[in-house]
Amino acid sequence: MIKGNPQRKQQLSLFARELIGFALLFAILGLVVNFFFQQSIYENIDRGLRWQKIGILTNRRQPTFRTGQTSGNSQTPPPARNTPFRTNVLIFNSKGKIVNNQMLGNRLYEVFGNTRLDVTKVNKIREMTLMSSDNSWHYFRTLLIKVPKTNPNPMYAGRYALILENIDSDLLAIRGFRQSLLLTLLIFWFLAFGVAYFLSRSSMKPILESWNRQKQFSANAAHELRTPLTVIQNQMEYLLTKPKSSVMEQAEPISTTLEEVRHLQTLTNRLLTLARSDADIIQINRQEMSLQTWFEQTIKPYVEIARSQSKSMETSIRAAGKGHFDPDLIRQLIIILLDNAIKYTPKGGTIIFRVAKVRDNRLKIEVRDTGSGIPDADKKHVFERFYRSDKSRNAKTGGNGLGLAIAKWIVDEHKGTVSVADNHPKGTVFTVFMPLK
Amino acid sequence: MRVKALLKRSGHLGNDNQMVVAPFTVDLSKRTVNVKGKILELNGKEFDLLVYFLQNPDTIITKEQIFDRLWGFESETAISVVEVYMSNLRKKIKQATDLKPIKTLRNVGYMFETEELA
Repeated sequence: MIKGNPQRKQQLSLFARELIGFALLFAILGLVVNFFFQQSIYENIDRGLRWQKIGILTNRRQPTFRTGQTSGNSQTPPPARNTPFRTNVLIFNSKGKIVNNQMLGNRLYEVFGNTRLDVTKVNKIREMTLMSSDNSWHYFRTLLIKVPKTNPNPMYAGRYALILENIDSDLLAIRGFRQSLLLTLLIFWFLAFGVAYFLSRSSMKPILESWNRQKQFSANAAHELRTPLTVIQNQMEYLLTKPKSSVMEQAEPISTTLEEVRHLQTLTNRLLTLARSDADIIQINRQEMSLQTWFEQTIKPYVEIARSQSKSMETSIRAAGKGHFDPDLIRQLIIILLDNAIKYTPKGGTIIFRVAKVRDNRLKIEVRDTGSGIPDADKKHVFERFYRSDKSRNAKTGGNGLGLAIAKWIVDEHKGTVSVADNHPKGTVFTVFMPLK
Repeated sequence: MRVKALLKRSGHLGNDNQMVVAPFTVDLSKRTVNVKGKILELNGKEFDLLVYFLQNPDTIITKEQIFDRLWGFESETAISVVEVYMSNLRKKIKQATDLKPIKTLRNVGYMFETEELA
C-alpha cells in the first residue's frame, strides 16, 4: 500500500478514533472506580465517627480505641509506622483548653496539643493534618460535638469533644489502590493499541476489498471499451483514405466496424444490467410458466446452432408442471451458459443440456461441454466480473467476461445456486439449482 | 405480423397478404411462395429469410441482422446457423428457378440482387 493514499489515511483515522475511544472509556472507568472506592472508605470512617458520637452522647460506654480491626474496610492493612491510635477523643472545656491530656498520655498529647477548638465547626466532619514528634504527618477525620451538661459522664458534660479518626492507613490504601488502578488501566490501554489496530484493519478489509473491486472493475470496463473503439477508429480512418470507392467495395471495413459496435452494445448492455443489479432497481418479473414447453422452445435454436458448427447437442428436459420465474432472465441465463458451452466446445464435441425437477420442488439445470475445461484455480473466480480463464483477453473468443457474472446474478435473484465443476472425461459442467416457487 | 406492418408501410404489399417480387409471389398469411406456378417448399425460418430479403432487395444484410430478426435474441455464437439456413434457401431457389439472386459478401453478409432476377 502506498503511503498517503486514502485507504491508509482512513485506516489511520479509524485506528486513532478507536484508540481515543478506548482511552476515554478506560479513563472514565478509572475515575468511577476510584470515586466509589474512596467514597466507601470515607463512608466507613464517617460511620465510625458518628458511632463514637452516639457513644459519647448516650454514654453507653467509655470511648474505646479502635486498634485496627474494623468492620468495613478490614482489608486495609494497619499502617506501617508505629501508630497505636485509630480513634481518639479530645475534650475541650468552653475556654478551648484540652482537659483529658492525662488520659491521652504524653506521646499523643504532643501530637494533639496544638489542636484548636473552633466552635463554629460543631457537628461538621472535617479533615485535619497533624505532625507527630517524629516529624511524620498524620491525617485525621474529625467530628466536633458539643456534649450537653446533662451528660452523665462528668468528663464530657458541658464540654466539647473532638473525635479524631486516624485515616493514615486508609489514605495509604487509597493511594495504593490508585496506583494499581492506574497501572492496570495503562496496561489495558497498551492492549487497546493492539485491539484498535486489529479492529481498524479488519473494518477496513471489506472497504478495501470493495474499493479494489471497484477500481478493477472500472479499469477492466475501460479496457474492454478501448479495444473496439480503437478498431472502429482505425476502420473509419481507413475509409476516409478511399474517398472514391463505393460502399460495396468497402463493405468489409464497414462490417468490421459494425461488429465492434455490436460488441460495444453487448458490453454496455451487460454493464448496465450489472450496474442496475448493484443498485437493486431491476424488477424481477416472475411468471407462471409451463416448464416442459418453455424449456423446449428456449433450447430449440441452440440445437440448430450447435449443429451448424458441427457440434452435437443432447438435450434432456424432464420437468412436468409449472414453475414460477422470470422467463426473460432465465432465458438470458440459458443463453449465457449455452453460448459459453458452444464457444468452448471444439468441432465434433458434444454439449449436453439437462433440465430436471429435483427434490423440494426445485429445478436443476445442467450445461455440460466437452471443451478444454477450467483450471481449478480459476473455477472460483469465473463468476467474477471481467474474469476470464484466458488472460489474453483476445476479442476472438468474443466474450467480455461479464456473462457469468450476470448468470450468477440471475440465479441469485431466483434464490438459487450456480456452480461449476469438471465434466468427465473433459470439459466443464455448470449446474444451476433454483426453487420453482 | 410485424412483417406485414412493415410491408404495408413500404407499399410492397399488393393485395392484402401478397408480396410480389417477380418471379416470387409470397402469400404471407399462408406462408407459401410461388415461383413460376410452382410452390417453393420452404420451412419456417427459410421462409422468413426469403421474406426478409425480398423486403430489402439490393441491400447488404449482415448475418447478425438476420439472426436478430429471425431468432429474436442476441447470441455470441449463433451466426453460423444463419449460414446453414442461407445455403438451404439458396439451394432451393436454385432448384426451382435456376437463379442465384443471393450474393455472399465474404466476412460481411449477403445481398439479394434484383438484377439477377431479370
